[in-house]
Amino acid sequence: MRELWQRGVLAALLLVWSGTLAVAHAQAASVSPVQGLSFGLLLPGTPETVTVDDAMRRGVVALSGTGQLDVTFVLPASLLSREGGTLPISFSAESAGLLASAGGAAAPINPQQLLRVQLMSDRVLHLVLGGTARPATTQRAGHYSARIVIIVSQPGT
Amino acid sequence: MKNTLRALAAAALLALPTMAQAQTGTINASADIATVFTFGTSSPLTFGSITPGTTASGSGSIAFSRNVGVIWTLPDAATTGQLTGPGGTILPTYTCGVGLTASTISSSFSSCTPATGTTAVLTVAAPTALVNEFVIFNGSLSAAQTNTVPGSYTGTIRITATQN
Repeated sequence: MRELWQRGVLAALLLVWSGTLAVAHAQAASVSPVQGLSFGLLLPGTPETVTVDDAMRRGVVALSGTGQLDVTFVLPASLLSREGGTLPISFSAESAGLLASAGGAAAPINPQQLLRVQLMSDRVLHLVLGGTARPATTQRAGHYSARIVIIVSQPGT
Repeated sequence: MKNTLRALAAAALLALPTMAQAQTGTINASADIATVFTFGTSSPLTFGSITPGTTASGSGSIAFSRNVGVIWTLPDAATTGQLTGPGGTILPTYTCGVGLTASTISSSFSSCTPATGTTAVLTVAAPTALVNEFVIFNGSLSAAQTNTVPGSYTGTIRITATQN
């Protein structure tokens, strides 16, 4: 009796395990960086905006896989230089877009809100990101940078 | 058999996968602030109309904007600011340097008539922000210098700025 019970428990465990593996495999997704967001050469005191249609300068990440995904951007408030300078940047509700691999214009999305996307196994989705840099009139010369993080997760996790 | 079942159950529990975790990707954001290094408007140095045998003075300046360091040189060396006219050449006595206003020198050049045209008369490190300043020359003529052939005496003060 006891042995029968133990076999039952083991069978249940194996069933749950295989089922979870099957679900995890179906929803496997990857996020890959493609291109950084580059504001280019700026003059002190002159703001510069990169739109989602600016193919040369916009940031791009690729999403591939299947299933639904929640996407979150972690956006910096400024770029930093090695000398300790800060260059303010900002993002609006039109600063990001969703681009199907087949091409065409990017569907606008708000990078400051959670985005839910449906991935298909036969195509790659590209997230594109622009923004605005606002150098001060007294901005020090030099190179400024920061990291933008994109977090993807299954809905509900 | 029991031990086998226990081993299998333990392995299944240990190997039970967790729910798929979040994944992250990162991209870089970057910008380059251009170097500003440029002369602006000049205000000429004029001694005006001088009565021979009297002293005279004048001041001139040129604006300069930079967000990097600078090395100042006077390429005409010992003849910087020399005036030439009907009576020959006259070299005024100068004080010179840079300042945040056109009227006040805050950092003096080591010499207004250096020995060579490549001598650094002032070297300044990179500022923390954009600097708008003036290169200033204040000149004076002695009574002996003005006691000369009348006429117009002119010259040019040349200043070179090199990024430091």
